[in-house]
Amino acid sequence: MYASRNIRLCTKDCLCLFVCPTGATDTENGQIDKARCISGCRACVDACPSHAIFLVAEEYPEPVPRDPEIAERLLELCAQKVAQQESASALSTELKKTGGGRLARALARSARILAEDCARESGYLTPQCSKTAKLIAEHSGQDDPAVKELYGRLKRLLS
Amino acid sequence: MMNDRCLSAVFSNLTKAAALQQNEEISSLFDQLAQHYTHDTADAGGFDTLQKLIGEDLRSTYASLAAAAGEKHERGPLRALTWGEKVTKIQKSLISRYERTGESLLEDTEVFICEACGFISIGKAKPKLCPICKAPESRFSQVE
Ligand code: SF4
Ligand code: SF4
Repeated sequence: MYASRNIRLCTKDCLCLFVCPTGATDTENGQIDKARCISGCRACVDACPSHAIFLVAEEYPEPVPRDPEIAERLLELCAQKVAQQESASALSTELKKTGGGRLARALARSARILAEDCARESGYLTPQCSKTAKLIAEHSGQDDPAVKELYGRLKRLLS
Repeated sequence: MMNDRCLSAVFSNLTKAAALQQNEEISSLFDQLAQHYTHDTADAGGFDTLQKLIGEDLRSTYASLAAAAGEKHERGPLRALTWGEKVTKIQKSLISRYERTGESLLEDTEVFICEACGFISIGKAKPKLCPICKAPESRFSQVE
């Protein structure tokens, strides 16, 4: 669990500089130096008067399993939303810089966000969860070596 | 096997999840997989084709799926369906308005989108609060 700073909330009061035992909070780019941060220390998190620092977990629990029927139907809805996104994207290319083109781009992005939400709620919640692991394992045997490599690297990084 | 449309959405959502976890390497790998499964359609159809697809979701999919999720106390999916149905209704009404009024709907005005729930807002400035998911102004982006 390492500290991270939300620059938008930081009011530069500098209390985090005083409490950090390693100087990790004092950097030229406004970000906390993860390499120096002591995992789980949280001194700066508690000291910050603006609630601008939080801890980022490195391990994540297995999510509560989804009902299989709901999960399946959410994926069907997900595919429909992607089909809508494809249709809206093609329309936005055709209509270019017109108002209609802008509307089509907004509709494409909106449909994409809805598709991703359905995908997440069907149980692919985190990179670390077992459904994601299973999906990666099922697709590891790829003909295209570049794609195979992507799956392989993910598998190694997430195991 | 999962179809490419779902794979692309699962992976692009995990791209965002890994970025939130501040793991850029994993995020970038998921992003590349999402791109791999993203395909363009050459045939755009028109706004009416899109409207038909959206209409199908609104006619029965949302209601029956939300009822099933409610019965099974699946509150996460229910949340996604509640927001999703509202956002989809707004998509539908914007398309209807555009079909009626044409380009004047978007003259001298901006289009913004809530990155959290997909709500589309037409106006001079970003909304202070998303009316669907209550995300703050900072979650809105302008659509160019
Ligand atoms: S204590 Fe909080 S507000 Fe002050 S500099 Fe540190 S992060 Fe910013
Ligand atoms: S958690 Fe502790 S070590 Fe890490 S930046 Fe904050 S004060 Fe420094």
